[in-house]
Amino acid sequence: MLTSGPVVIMQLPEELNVKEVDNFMQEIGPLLESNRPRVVLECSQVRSMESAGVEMLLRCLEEVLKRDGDLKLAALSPEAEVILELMRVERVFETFSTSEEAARSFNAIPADAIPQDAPWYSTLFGDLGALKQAS
Amino acid sequence: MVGAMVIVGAGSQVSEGDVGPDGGTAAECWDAWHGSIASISVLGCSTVTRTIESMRRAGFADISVLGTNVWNERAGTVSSEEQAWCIAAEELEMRREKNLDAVIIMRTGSYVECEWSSLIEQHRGYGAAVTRAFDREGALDIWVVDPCRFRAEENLPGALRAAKTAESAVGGYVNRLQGAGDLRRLASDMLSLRCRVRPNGTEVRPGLWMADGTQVARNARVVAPAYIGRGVKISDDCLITRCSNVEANSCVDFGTAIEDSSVLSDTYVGIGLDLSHSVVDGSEILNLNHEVRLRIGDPVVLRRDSTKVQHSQSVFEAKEMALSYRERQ
Repeated sequence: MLTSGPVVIMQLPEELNVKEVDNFMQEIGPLLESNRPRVVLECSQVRSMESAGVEMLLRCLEEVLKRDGDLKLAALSPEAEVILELMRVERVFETFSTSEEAARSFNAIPADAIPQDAPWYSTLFGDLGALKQAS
Repeated sequence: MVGAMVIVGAGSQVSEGDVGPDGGTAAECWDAWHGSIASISVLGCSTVTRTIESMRRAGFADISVLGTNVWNERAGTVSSEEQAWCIAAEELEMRREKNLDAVIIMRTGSYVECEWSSLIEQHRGYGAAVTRAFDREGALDIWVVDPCRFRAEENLPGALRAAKTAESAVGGYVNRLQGAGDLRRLASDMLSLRCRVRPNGTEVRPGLWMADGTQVARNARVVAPAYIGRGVKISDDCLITRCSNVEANSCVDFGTAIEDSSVLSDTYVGIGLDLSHSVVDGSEILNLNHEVRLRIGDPVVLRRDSTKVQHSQSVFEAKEMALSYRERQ
């Protein structure tokens, strides 16, 4: 059975240079190795980002996708937006205006939308059990 | 005989209460970044140089260029705009002694395509000591002064503002150059033939201008209107489009797309980038869509490609040109 943990929201540092990237990778590393990681990176503080920062984002995305998870970006600062556009990676990431919105998007089809006391196909085909008995 | 003094200002306009910066962040960013847009090369030549060329064509007898970091034959290197104005006041005195009947005092600032002869005619017709040029948006930093009737011992800009002036309308192209957006507009207007001035170079195809010594790779695409400056290198698979200009000695590396952007002189633009709605100068980028300015610390992405050229050089060029013209008189 597939399970997933909670959505983890992390704040990116103001400057994403080589040193900060190393520090951030140590922090996020264990999370990326979990089962179906669901990560939101909050980018509102980002003021500058070197290519090491962009590579780190792509590496994180690759790791979470390998483990059937996802990574989303939220609250992009104008600086972060300009850099992602400049480096042609803005389309690779799903972006949201707030972290809450990004976190909610992981449960886009909420579990309670499907009644738990009836099978999922009952809305499409009706009560198959009753139909079988009647036949 | 008519003389002229061009003061290369740091901000967009010297006037108080007329037309100031619009308060937009891009304009503020630009002032903090560059100081004087007028000395930046746009389509191969700064607006200061273009202004002086137009004055020369109009037959002005004595043209001097004054501004921060511009060398002056009497005062040495001028360190501030205030000092430039003080020297201008002294030069005005000298022109009185030379019996010039009119002196144009212009502060760049704005880029104005002015019919100088008609401005002088209007000034003579009004019979005022000072005539100030206006456009539809308000006052411009261009004054025509009768040196025999106008005196300003100390504060020349203050005296010009305070003087009772006649008003003369400028009908030609005006760009107030208040920020990076205006610089982009100037490049775009020149390429779209919305102003009189033409790019420095050869029109190799309709709307596509190239200066000497450009290297454009066979697989690169340059879509008109566009301008490629002197000594520029455009690598394979690049795309330059939508009124973009790449100024002298810059390099655009493999696969990069430049759209609706200006790459200023001596800038390296790295591999596989997507540069749009921006002005780039060395490692600094000012994005007009997001109104944000940032420095890219990564030299493989953006960097200054040469240390030998400064923006003030074009001001020096303008000064040299003015001096050589004065010598020829």
